Amino acid sequence: MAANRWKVILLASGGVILLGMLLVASFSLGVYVGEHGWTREGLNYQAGPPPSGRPPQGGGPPPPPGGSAGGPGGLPPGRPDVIGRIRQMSDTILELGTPEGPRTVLLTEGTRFVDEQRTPLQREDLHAGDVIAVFGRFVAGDGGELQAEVIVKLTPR
Amino acid sequence: MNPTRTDRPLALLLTAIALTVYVLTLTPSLSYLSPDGSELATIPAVLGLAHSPGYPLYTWMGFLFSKIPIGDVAHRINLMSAVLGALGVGGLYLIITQLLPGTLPIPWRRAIAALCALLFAFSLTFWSQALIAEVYAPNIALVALTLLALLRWERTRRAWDFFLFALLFALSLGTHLSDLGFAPAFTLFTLLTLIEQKAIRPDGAARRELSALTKSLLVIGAVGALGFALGVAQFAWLPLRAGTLNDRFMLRNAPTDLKGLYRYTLGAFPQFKFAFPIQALPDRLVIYLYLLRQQFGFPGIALGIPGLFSLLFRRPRHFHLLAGMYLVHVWFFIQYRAFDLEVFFIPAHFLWAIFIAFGLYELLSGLHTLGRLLAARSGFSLPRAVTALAVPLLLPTLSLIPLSANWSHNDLSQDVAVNDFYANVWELLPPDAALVTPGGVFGYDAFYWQIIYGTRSDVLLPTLPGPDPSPDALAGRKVYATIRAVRGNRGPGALPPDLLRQDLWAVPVLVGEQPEASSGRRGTLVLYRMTPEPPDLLVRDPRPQIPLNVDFGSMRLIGADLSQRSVESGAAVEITFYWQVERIAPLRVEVRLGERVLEQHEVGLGLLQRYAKEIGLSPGDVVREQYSLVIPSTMKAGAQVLSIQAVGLRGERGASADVAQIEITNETGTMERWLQIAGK
Repeated sequence: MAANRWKVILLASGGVILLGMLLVASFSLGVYVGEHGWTREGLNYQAGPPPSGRPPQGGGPPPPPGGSAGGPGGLPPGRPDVIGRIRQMSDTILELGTPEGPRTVLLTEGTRFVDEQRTPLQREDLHAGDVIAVFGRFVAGDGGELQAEVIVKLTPR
Repeated sequence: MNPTRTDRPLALLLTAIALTVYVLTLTPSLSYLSPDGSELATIPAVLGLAHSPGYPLYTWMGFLFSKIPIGDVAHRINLMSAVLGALGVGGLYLIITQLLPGTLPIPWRRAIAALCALLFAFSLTFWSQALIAEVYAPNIALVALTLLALLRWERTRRAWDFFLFALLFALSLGTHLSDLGFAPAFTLFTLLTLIEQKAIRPDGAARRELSALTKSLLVIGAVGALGFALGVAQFAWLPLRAGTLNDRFMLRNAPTDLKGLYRYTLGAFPQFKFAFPIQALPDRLVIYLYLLRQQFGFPGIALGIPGLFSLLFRRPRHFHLLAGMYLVHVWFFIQYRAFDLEVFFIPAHFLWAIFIAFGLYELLSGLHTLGRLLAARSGFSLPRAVTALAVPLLLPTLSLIPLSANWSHNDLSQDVAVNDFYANVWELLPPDAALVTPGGVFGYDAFYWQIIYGTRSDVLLPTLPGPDPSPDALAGRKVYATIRAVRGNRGPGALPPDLLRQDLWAVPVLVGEQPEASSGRRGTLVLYRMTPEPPDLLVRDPRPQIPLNVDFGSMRLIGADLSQRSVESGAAVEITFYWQVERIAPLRVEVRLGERVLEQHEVGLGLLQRYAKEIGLSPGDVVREQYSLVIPSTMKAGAQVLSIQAVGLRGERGASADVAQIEITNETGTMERWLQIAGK
């Protein structure tokens, strides 16, 4: 009798926990779908088509969109440390959706903002949904944080 | 269920399978993909103090592994992750076999357990962490051992077994402090086990039972506290080794007194914890579900949900244990702000594998029952050999799906970029140079060589002894850097603002390989020469060895120079590109050797914008880029074409040019070359 009562208590409490988990997960999914639809747009960003062979020698690259008001150069050597779509932003933090999943980027007073022609921008020119390429360095922490040196706002496709 | 004589060898077999895969895909030495891995590869070998929270047990285990005479020290620490990760996989198998109910034939239960253990072993994130010097794979071994010890105590109810469990639990805090979050679930399980044991006795003995229960609780409590205290005593390591710290942030919270000990451990990284407002939590939970899907796919989620229900009805106490561990872990880390968030959910994925096992159990139980019903009605049944052997043999082969799907992402055996780069740095630096690197945790790419092997002891690493080197230390030395001095850089690894003048030119002289699959993990490997004088970027009368004359749009590649046409893999070749400016616009290019992309940069190597502003640049000018490029030590011997191609930030391709054919030689083995340069 006592054993049965005990089992009922365990099952009932476990059932409450499970129902709670399912409710919370469903609610969260519902909020996400409401914002982004049945897409991964809110979670990651696909940078673009994978390279498929090389074009013949010569031939110019695609011309940069719009006028080229800015000067050449200015980006550190190397690939961007991360390319992603801005999901959320504050004065000091950007949260990006990237092909690898969500990534956090720190902004500092030294962070430069430019467009693809390297025209200087302001932080206020960035908005949620913009796709950016970030050049920076990692700072210490359990998991590390990427501190942005240069952020390039990419032209929407 | 007691682990049988067959289960332990099977667990070892699964460990061996996982370990084989991990060794085949193991990072050879320092990892490009793990920004703080170089610190974790160095500190154990010298019994130092790692970054918060200190990881004492990891350090001691790493010290033992660093003595194995294979490869270099970093390789041995990587091997530790592989070995302990594989042991965790074997432990998961044993946990599942002990929990699954006995209504299915034993071979079927073993097959379920083996499949789920291998699904976890080959899951995207755990596999990647078993190949590098990081704490997550060793932590899983400790979590598995702790759970096995708890289950053992549940069977035997001996005080010694509970002591062992408490000791292992406390020791696991030395591989990841977040395991402390399992304490409520462990406590609840212990109470439920003791209470349930008493609850099944006749009602008439209630008062005596209460007294016996109280006594049990006191004994278990005392024994557990003793075991836990002994395990936690490992953190005495922190004040003992606090004097070895060189990271600004860690020094600020140095564990030299109780307050420092708290700030170094439980109080570390407060800015990361509970970093999101409540309205962001649904979003964060969806991120976790996305990461879960990455590990086990939708089938894994679909099986895990009914698995939780099955666990509740078949093993209610264990449900509260495992679901309790899982919920606390997920709840904490969905509110944790970290760049590579996915690694923190590995223990939750470990637990989800158990839920999947129960889901599979229900599925197979249903099929088993259906099969028997059909056989009874139709009179036809499959041969016993088929049902007894086919399912157990075939089921684990489903783990080949994640194995093949994740292999290319997790094959880190070609990850040689960091070692190749620094091997060339030590060869290139002039005598008595100064090499400015990030301080603290992220400086260990360079520190590793001097600390472990005493490489180029004449070269000053100003940020090695401490985070605030004086500019006077650089006086009289040629200054090089692997970090650009950027205004406003903050954080523990940032350079003191007065160490390098902000107006210095950071001229790239050596560029390391930039593995394509590395985006978002580590910055580019570039050695800069720091000079107050502007570099000679413009050339009046260019006479390249290799005339090219290829139109790249805003610039024309008129030719190139190569220092040599035959180069040993792992060494560097000096390249010069001559670009005629046709239009003032940025041009981004990618340099390849054969099909392998070596590096990307913007023409001018990041200097052109400043050069144009301060010195001047006009259409018609010829810009010279001159730097040494590291040839990866994993390049196969033979002739390869060096080529250059215009590329956009998103990877769009443009004009290209074949520059020259280079003969790659492999006279010295990769590890042998690194160790030779290290000075061993």
